[in-house]
Amino acid sequence: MIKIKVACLGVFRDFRDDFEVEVASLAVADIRIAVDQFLDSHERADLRIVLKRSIFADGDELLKDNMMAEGSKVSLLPPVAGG
Amino acid sequence: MFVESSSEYWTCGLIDGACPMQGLNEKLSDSAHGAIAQFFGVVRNHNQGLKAVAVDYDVHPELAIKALSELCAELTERHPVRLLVIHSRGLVRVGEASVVIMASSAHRKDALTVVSEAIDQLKVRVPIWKKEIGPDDDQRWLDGHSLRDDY
Repeated sequence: MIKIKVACLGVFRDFRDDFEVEVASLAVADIRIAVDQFLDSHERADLRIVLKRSIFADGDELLKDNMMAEGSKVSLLPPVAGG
Repeated sequence: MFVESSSEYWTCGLIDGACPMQGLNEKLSDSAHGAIAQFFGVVRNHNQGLKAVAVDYDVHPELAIKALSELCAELTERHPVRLLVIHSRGLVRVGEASVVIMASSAHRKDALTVVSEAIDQLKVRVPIWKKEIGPDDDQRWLDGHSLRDDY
């Protein structure tokens, strides 16, 4: 298993600044499942809903679910609301 | 600005706290331009029926400056303007500006169009999040636009 640190932005930041999940591969789809399970284990159904509309990023690259993360850290970006 | 990006025709950046509302025209200096359009996004004291005293902006700096740079590049490729976009990070109080967009052009139409397009696109493309703070320090994150293609 691979440990991935997930950095939280926006509404996720109120939950944690970051947390760690274990995944079988660096596939973003796998990371999403692991994060969903982590939120479920912490009884954060509200954030599980937001997760569905959120995207991961690696540095300054947005990661679609069919992509692979390259590093051991990703950012979790909820829907944006600047301005 | 704690992070800034620029080209010959545009400048964008992120600033801690409120954006300046004066002294920005020099970034757009061009003696061939006869129009300057400007937009200040200002924190208001209410939203969705609730009172607010401030907004706390969270930003992913790397992604935000990349998205702002791409936006500025696209707009200045399509319109003959000079463009400045600045957005806040952190606490901005009611009456203070959280975003400044200014464009200059030879004639008014391009500058006005670019300012309007820039704020519309910024709201749906740039990784920035806002948490409204109420008078009793009650706090609420505002929902926004998903960056996922399929949402």
